Amino acid sequence: MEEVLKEAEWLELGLAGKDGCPYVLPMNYGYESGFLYVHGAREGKKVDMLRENPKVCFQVVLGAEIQRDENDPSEFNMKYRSVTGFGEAEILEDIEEKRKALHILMHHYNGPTEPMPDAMLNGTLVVKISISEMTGKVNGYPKPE
Amino acid sequence: MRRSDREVTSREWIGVVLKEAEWLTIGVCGENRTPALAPVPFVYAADRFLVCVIGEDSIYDMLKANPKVCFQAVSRAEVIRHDSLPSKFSMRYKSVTGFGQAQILRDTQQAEEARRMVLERFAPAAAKRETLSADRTENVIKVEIEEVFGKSNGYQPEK
Repeated sequence: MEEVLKEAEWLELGLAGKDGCPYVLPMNYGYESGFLYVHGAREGKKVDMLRENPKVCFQVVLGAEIQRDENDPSEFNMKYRSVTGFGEAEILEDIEEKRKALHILMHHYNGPTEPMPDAMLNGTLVVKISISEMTGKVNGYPKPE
Repeated sequence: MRRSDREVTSREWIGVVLKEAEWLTIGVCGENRTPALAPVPFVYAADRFLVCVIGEDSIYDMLKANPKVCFQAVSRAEVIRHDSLPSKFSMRYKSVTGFGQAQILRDTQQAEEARRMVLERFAPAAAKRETLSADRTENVIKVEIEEVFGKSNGYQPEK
């Protein structure tokens, strides 16, 4: 599962609103030791929903494609490797925690970690997701040993 | 949408993205307002509804209790890199996000029609048969789209 989490370039984040309405959005992320880190704007629907209900679901999908079975035309299959999980989101306020989280995120993309001026950190929403449960799935690819 | 510069409202553009994508992420809301996600094969039809094949029983059960769904299809996504500035990292992508109500179709005439639509897209030879058995595509749902919007970043501006 960690291999899939380290390989993927974005995840889908699932939120649940007050009225029982779900919301799905794609996000860049970083992963380290059971925590996911995502970032975004300090205002908007996503942050409003997270403040009201911090429960999240996340999903990472790699190599997804529909496979047709040439021998049996009634068969088609979705080939993929995925990790789906649940967790609780915490909006980080401490600037050094935010810096550390964004370093983890930039490491995920093998990108530069500096400069990260305080003004930029103050203007950015950084969310730490504590993973409570996750499941990996493999279909159509070799299963890991 | 906060980033109106990235919003695409053209239904034609939205239709193209939904027809290019073979699967989308469906989001549902379970007990205790816990969200859940799954990747699902789908068909977009008549510019107003989706037929989705739900492979996971847990998602299907949640939909029976709460039919509200959010869906998202992403195409052509890639990271925009920058050698020296973290703030210049971004994603180039086209996506469509929408909301709607799921209708469970099992054992109805509509289920047969929905199964045929799915097969026409993914297994056209099987769709030509006169009768279809309730096979593995029986967990099909129809989602009437109530709200939908597109987002584009890093591609030519479109409206």
